[in-house]
Amino acid sequence: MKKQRCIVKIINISRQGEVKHFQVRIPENATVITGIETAVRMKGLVSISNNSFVVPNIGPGMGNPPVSDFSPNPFGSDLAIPVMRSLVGELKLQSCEEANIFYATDITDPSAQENLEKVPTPSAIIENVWTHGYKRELEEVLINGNTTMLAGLYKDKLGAMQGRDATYDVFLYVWYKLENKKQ
Amino acid sequence: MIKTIYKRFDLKVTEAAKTVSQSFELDKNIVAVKGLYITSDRRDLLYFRGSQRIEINKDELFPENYLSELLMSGINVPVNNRYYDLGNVDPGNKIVKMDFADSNSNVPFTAYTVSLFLKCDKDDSK
Repeated sequence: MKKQRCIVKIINISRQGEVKHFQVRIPENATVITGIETAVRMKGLVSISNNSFVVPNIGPGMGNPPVSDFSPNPFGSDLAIPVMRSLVGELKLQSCEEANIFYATDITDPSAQENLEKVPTPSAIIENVWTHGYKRELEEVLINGNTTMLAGLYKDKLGAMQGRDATYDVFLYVWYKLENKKQ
Repeated sequence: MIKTIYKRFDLKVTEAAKTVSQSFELDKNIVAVKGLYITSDRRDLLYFRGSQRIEINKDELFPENYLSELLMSGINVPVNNRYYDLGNVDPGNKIVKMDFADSNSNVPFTAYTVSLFLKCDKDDSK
């Protein structure tokens, strides 16, 4: 029987447009890499809309306050900044045994609430990612586990688009299968 | 005869930025653990602050720093799909261990309770 295990890699980002190269060591007993999961956890400034910035103050049932409550855009309200609200950065992975990248994704912040369906609920209940969020799914890949490590690259987009430093952690989870010792 | 049952285990988080470890015991007639779901009385805190390591029968299913948000499902998800599919985990010694870590974030801390739900197969003949 093959068991699944997960490797966690945390990438700390603190400067605008920061590019980080990293490596994920794959254990010797890994036979195949089966899936990738990603997540992001904000530490500082969060983008709420194209012309607003806010440090979130989230309490029970509060949801997002009106946009007018936020501090103004430091670039001035006339300047249109093409910001995809939830985009945080981009991540690419390459196996050391193979040419080219095998996995690339946009890292998005689900708490920006872009994808929430507005299900009919009483008006007192505000849709939030932690009440109405979708179930997160593993992204399946099939990479030979013989590789000793994965090489990765992460590039910040959030801070670059906002023109200021953004502080957050990107979590990368690499799922792999290993042979059970009994076999 | 095999029946599906759901078990609930609660863990209280009373201090910010601390790890709370707790072990739970499954019934002796449980023969497989099929699914897992995490929720809280303060889902916002669980979502933005929580991470956990979970093992069943000393077999690590989720490693340290596995964010709680990855095991949560909102009310947009159909009821039958809300559980994380574990396949068919052998409960072995029937011990489930959870190391829950609260970490500082933008969301201010208050005490909250984390609930771990397990979808299990029970053999009535045992």
